[in-house]
Amino acid sequence: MLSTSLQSFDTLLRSNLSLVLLLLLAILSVLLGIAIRSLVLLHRTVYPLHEEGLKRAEEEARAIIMSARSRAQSLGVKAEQDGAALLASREKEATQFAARHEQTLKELVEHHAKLLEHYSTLAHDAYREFDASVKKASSAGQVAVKQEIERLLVDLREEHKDLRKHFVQQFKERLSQELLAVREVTDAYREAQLRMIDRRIVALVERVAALTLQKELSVSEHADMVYKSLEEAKKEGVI
Amino acid sequence: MQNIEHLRDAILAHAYTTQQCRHVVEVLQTFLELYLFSQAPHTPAKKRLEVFFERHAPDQYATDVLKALDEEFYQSFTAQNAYETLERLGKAFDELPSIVLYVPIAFPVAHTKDIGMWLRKNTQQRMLVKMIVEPDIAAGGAIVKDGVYYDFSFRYFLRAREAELLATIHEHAYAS
Repeated sequence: MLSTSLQSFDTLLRSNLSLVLLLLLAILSVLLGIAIRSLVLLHRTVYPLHEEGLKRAEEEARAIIMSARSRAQSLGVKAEQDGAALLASREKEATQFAARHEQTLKELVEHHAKLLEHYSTLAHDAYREFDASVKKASSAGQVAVKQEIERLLVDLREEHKDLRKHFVQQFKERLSQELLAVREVTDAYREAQLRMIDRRIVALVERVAALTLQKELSVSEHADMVYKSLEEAKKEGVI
Repeated sequence: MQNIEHLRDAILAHAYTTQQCRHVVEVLQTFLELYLFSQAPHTPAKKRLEVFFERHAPDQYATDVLKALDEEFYQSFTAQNAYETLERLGKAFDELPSIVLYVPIAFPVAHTKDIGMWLRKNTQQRMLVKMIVEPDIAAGGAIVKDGVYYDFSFRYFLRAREAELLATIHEHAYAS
């Protein structure tokens, strides 16, 4: 795009070269006139005695200027004519170029449009294919994931079920053991307490019986009891 | 003159406990001192016993034992051998087999005799019993033999039937 613009500017500059030169020349003439007038004024101021010469010079200068003007005018006209011709020619070329350029652009646009359409179609097809494959993959993936999740859930449920069963079993066993241990302890304590109570009961009965026997038995009954003791002693091998 | 064994057996026929033997020997010594060292040494022992009983009034048991001993028994003691014979007699009793029997009450002589006779019948012929009154025995008796104490009092029988006793108590306790 930039190169195209530069080319266009260069072409335009070449086509108006005469006009530019004419303008430069006119500018130089004006500058020269100003310089001369300045010199004249300087001459009149510095050298009043040479006024005549100056007049002459002025006339000559004026003639030169006139000539230069005339020339410049003719050059200008010519330049204008050339310029116009050139301009017309350039305009024609430009028109032709523009037409060609437009044609080229049109072709390019068409070509690009076709390419765009082609690529668009390709992209669209690719997208549809991709979309289809994605959908297919997604669908298949979803099914697989769903199946996997379901399988995992089933495994998890089974594991949880086993774990719970194991935990419950373990808990029951521990509870049973604890209960058994507690029961053993309480039974042992209860047995110990009962044994202690029994001992006390027996001691109490003994005491009551001793008092009763001591007071209530007759001598003969005491003697009979002694015989019984001796018989037991003999039976036990003591005597 | 009778030997020590005969003298011992004569007393053993009436004494069944070590206490009775010792008591008899003690009373016998008192009597012999009177009998042997009196002014009328030739008087029969039986006659002298009456005097002795009147003067010293020994207990009924000793009186009965001394009365039961015959003249020959007393003739075995002289003024020269009396103390020695009594000492040997005491040792002879000590050498006899014996058991210690704890009883709840002090038994009369008759029951003591029966117990002694039972022992001699069921153990050894010359068995002596050292009977000690222990009220805590309450009923029955406890025996010490060769230094070992055996409780055969009513507690023994009670403990033998402790389970039955406790069952009865529990039954009544639960019933109530």
